[in-house]
Amino acid sequence: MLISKVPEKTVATRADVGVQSNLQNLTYGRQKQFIDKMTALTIVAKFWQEYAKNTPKKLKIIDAYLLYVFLTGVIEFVYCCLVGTFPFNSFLSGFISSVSCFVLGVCLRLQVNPQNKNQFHGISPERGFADFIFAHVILHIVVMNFIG
Amino acid sequence: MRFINKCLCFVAIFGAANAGGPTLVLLDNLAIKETHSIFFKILQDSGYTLTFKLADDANLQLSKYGEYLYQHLIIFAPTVEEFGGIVCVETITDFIDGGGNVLVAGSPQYGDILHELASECGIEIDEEDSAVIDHLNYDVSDNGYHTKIVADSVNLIDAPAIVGNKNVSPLLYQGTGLIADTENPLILRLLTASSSAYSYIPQSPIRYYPHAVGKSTLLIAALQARNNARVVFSGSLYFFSDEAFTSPIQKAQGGQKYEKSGNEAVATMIARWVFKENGVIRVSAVHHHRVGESEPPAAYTIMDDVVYSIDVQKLAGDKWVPYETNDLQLEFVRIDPFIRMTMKPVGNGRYEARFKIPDVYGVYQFKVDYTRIGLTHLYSTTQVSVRPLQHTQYERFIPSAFPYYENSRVLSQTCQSSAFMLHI
Repeated sequence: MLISKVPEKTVATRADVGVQSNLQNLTYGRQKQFIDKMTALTIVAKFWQEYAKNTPKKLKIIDAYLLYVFLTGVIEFVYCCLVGTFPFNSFLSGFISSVSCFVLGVCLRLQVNPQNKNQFHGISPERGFADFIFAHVILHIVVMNFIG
Repeated sequence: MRFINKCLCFVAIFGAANAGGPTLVLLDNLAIKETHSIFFKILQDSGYTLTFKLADDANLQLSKYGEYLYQHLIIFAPTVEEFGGIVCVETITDFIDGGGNVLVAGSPQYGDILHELASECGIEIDEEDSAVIDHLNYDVSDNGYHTKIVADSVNLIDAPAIVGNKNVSPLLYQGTGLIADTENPLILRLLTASSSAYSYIPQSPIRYYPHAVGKSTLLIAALQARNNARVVFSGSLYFFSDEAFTSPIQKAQGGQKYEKSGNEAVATMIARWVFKENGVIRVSAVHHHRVGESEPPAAYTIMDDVVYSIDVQKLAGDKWVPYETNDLQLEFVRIDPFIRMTMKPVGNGRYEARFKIPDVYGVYQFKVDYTRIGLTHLYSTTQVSVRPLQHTQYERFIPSAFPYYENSRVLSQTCQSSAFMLHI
């Protein structure tokens, strides 16, 4: 409730500032930046709150997994930029395993999400998870083969 | 069967390279047989079987049932307008294409057919009645037109295989001049006129710029065709005559007097060369393998160390002897040469190259392409394939790749453990 009030407040502030700033443009600009930041923060905060409230626990776990996989991919890419592409097949397979895990995770999330039930009706979350595991087995066999 | 054919072909090519052999001599008239008897005697003594025929003999033929009757052809018939029998310019060029060697001598009065034959070989004979004139280097016995010229032996081509030792007496020459395209790599300028010579009709005043002037006037020119058949054109039939062989020679304008001209020595060497007694080399064997092995593998791997060796032989008399040089090069070619190196002579005519195959796979050739003036063209290619490393041959456990290994291990374990936890 507190957060839902905040936009009203900012709007009010803006109206006030608008009256004052005819003489002080600089102050107006600073105020505007502040307001934008506030707006962005409120949006993020609101998003987070909604997410925490409305997302099932299963999906949260999957999201944490996706974040983790995404970070490994980024770290690998940075490492490659620093060290060079020498064992290129190793880099490729490491990076591709991150990317594929991410993609597979996203697929799993889509299938498990109750909101998409009408698109994936007949596919239970357990079935989705089994598919996920199977695809991972194939993926890691390929990655191990290619990593050298 | 194809292999046997190839062997026969090989034998045929190199059989033809041996000294001697049946030779057809075409003459204007039988008197030439007498006026050029020393030259013919030298050939007969070196094992050639000479068959003398008039150039317009009605039964003239070079081949019978698709086989050539002669290995060599001498045309000492400058004035012939048309050959007899079934011989024409085309049959002679076919003969050359078939590996036959031809020696042609002209004179200021020559027939169209010689002109045509010469231009088929990339050599132009100057127009009829013209002769090479040199007002500074003519012989004392000249008749006043300054056409019996004294050609210095320094104007001979720099190739001992063709003309032998260049330290011979000057050469007597009386005849027409030849011109050749300087761009043509198959033409050899065996003997050029001196810088004061030109080619024109001696009796008439000069009305236009002569076709051949100075050193570009060729006295004797040769063609070594791509199939190693050899053709020599001399603008002078007199060059090979007994008179030129035996007469003393002295430049009319204060020259040193030589008892005997150098014609005999040079003509003999040229005849030996054109009939493939000299300057014939061949590849007798090619070996290649990895360092430390003795047999060629089915395919090389990139970065292999390779030993390539080639045996080159030279014809000496009727035997093949090792050919020794130090400028034989090997190329390792995949469209472009990836490696080009001079091979080391290891004795007995064998040359060896050791190198590392480049880090590029594909189909390669070991190529030896050896072209030297006066020698037959040596060309040998051996095709090999170079494959990339096999899956098991790559380097493992590279330190800088450990983060990648670790990452994929962790990811797969995450997956495993999630599956495991779900199972519980």
